[in-house]
Amino acid sequence: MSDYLRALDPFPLQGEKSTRLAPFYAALRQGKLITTFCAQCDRRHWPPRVVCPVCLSDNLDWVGLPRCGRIHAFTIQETGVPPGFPRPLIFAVVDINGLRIFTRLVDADPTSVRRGLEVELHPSLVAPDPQGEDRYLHTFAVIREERHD
Amino acid sequence: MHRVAFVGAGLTRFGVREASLRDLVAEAGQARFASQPHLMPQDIDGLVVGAVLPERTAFQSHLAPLVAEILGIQPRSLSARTEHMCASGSVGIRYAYACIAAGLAEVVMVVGVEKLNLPNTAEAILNMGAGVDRDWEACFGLTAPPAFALAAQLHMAEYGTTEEQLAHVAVKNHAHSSKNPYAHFRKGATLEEVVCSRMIASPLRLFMCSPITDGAAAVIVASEERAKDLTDKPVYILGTGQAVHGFSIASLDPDYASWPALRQAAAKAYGTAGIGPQDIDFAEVHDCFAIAEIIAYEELGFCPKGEGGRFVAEGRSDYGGDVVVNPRGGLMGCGHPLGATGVAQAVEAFWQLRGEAGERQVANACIGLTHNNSGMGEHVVMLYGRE
Repeated sequence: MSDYLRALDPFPLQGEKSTRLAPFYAALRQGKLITTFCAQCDRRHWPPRVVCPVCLSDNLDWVGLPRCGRIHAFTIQETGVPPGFPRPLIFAVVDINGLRIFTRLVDADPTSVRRGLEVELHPSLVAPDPQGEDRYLHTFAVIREERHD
Repeated sequence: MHRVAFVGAGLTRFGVREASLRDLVAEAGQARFASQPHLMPQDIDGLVVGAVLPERTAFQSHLAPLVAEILGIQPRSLSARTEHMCASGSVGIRYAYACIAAGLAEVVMVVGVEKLNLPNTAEAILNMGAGVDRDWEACFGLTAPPAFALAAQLHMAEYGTTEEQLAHVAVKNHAHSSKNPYAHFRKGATLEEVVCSRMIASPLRLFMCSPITDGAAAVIVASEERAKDLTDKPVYILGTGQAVHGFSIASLDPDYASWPALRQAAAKAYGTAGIGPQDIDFAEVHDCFAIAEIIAYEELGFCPKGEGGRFVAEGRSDYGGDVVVNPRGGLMGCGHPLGATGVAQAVEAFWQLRGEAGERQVANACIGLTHNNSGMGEHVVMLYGRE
């Protein structure tokens, strides 16, 4: 893509030649959420790390995370949304096993979003990278529950 | 270690300006010079420039030498640009302070400047995402309003803070900025206007947010020895503190309604100055959004945790109250040209402490505080006094 300009690309470069976190994005393309784990510190990170922020080791393992979590906080943005992003934007911090994952909700009814709501990983396809490879983001969607009246 | 003081200041009008980044620098420099014509450019030995996004908004990097050239300064002790998002101006002042205190420089100009408005507003909004975590937040479309909206949601849930209390911050700051000829907004705002204004990111409405503003500000910082030759009313830096607890929202403690980094920065500032919150006569705090001012009251020690909404609603952060917060109108009233804000806060402190704040003058102002944040986990506090 000879007309690609890094300064205008809002998304991270996800390929092996661009980031040491390429495994995260590879797993995401498979619909999975993974993160890094430092065995020396017995500690999972979020977001995934290149070096452990405690011991600076780069000998980190990739571990799987559950796909589901609960909304810790959220906000719905209607105005001032950057170009190219959907309106309304529903941002959420999702709690998954004590990790707090910042994300955007897709396919959600804004009036039904509340703290404590259970959400599930639902990756979104965004613009491809300069080599034409697909890129995804770790967006989430509301889990549709059966009503018990 | 030398004591350090402000000896001069200048400001441009803040707003949506028909002016380039360079025009704004020239205007701030001229304003400073007009107030202090005996201090010529060649008398200034150092320069620090606070600017956040010139690479994006003016396609220009390498700012300090450019500003030096515009203002006729040839630094012979210090030349630097400081970037710390919205706290760039205060960080620039601290850097000048440290260099003078260490004897590296004697008379330093600190200029804060930002040109945010662009022919295409969409580009200006796109640029707002440059300050948050590109890979884990900005990629979703995050900018500052929704980030701070999370703090508002939790503060309302935990302490019962109301939309009306948030609105009181806006009404107060717009009233103050209506008396400030340099402010972006000069018409005032009623409670009803604020509460009925368009929703930006729930629960923050338009009038509870600072606008996209162009502007520049300048202060002259000098050693105590030089200060005495340059003005009969120097304004001294009494103390300062800075703390960064995290960059991305995911790394912060999950209670976004509490800002321990601000408490830590304030404690350091108060400790080195040997004073407490009760000694503060006025404070320019970082009201990027109304919730930020409410939380700042609590973390700066003006009121107990959780009481910030009541504090403003009862008039205790206004003239006649416990402490006058944002006498110039804050970010909400004056606007927020990112790199200029911290320096503009210092300019107000300078004028207040010299009795030169006109209609906005805080009676018997002896000690002032400025608070500049660059994220919920990043804060700078400065304390200023007449002696």
